[in-house]
Amino acid sequence: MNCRKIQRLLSPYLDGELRSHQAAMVQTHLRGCAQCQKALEDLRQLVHQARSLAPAILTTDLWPAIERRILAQPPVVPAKIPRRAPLSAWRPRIAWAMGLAAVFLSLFFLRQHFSSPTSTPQTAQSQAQLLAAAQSDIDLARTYYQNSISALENIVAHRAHQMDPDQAGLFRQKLVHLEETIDECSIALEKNSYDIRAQRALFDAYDSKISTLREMAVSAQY
Amino acid sequence: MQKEAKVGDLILCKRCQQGDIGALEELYKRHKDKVYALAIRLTNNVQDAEDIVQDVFVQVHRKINSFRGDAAFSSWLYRIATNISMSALRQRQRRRKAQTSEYVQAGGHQAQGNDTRLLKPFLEEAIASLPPKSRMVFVLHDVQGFQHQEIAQMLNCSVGTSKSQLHKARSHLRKTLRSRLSLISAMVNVPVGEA
Repeated sequence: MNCRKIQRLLSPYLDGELRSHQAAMVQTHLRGCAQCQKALEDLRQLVHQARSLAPAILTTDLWPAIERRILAQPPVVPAKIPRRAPLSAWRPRIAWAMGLAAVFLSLFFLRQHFSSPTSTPQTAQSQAQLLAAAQSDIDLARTYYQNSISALENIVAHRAHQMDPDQAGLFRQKLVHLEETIDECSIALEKNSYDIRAQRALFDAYDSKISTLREMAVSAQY
Repeated sequence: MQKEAKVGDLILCKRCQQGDIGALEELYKRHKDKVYALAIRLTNNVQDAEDIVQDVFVQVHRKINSFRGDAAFSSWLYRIATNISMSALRQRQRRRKAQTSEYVQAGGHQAQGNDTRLLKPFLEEAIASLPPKSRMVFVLHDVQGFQHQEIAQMLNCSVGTSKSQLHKARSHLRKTLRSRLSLISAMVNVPVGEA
């Protein structure tokens, strides 16, 4: 290796940063090259001199000027500690969804009542229209219930790690049962959308699921 | 002792984040000399260095809420100090390219030892003639004693860049100071060939 290449390695060699084989190569070269020995000695002296430069001491008191500048600025807002969104932050959204679900359910049951065989006789056409409207109400109610459930599930997912594992296990078991009920009711309603018992059971299951998720969210908060 | 200082810095930072300006004054007292040492070596000008110290602590106050305490306060402070110094260096370079520094003319800070006195004023001047980035790396590594890893974090560059800038700075300084270095080497007689 020529002197030019060796001299490029002298700085890392001085700092002990070369790999062993490179360092050995530099040492071998240095033994037979006065010019590179001189270059290394210069570098060593340079680093030594730089390290021994006297420490600079600030003799002027700059604090009054710094303080004046700080006080002339608008005040710094104290640090905000990041906090989890409390359950109350979600309450308006959940309450809205639940309220709308209740409105559509009431409409649905009212239509059911007036379209039942005991009330005023209806033509086949008007019965079909009522059925379609009732179906639309029930679908909307289900959508709003599902929105409430999704919002609560998000909260629970964020707080899952804070929950007591035994308690969380019990909650999950209850949720599994409720989901089975919801599935069974949905299947029954697909077969017969007039099945009042299935409708009531479905919405009761939705209500229970919302209550369970809410309990889970609250228990994770404390 | 160093650990205690770090804990003390963290407590002061917390107080500072709550708006206690007295805590910032305490941080200033603890760290002003280190910041000044960096600034004076980089700018080679007392007035500029004092301006940098002021700017650094005003900036610390402004950004204290973004300090999370993951790293030592001194590392965070040095990062602010290097950024401000670097931008001051660039501004100054544009403003007055060939002005002789008052720090060098005034003889800088007096150091101990004959060998140092021989080279010191010339070394200060030669450092001042380095390009900003290699000057910064040289001062941080060879004068202040930081490791390449720390420098890379402060300057937001790779370790390789820090190493190559150091090599560049040393080569430049060696060329500038060759005759004086030879004279000192002959006087102090340091053994050759040992890293």
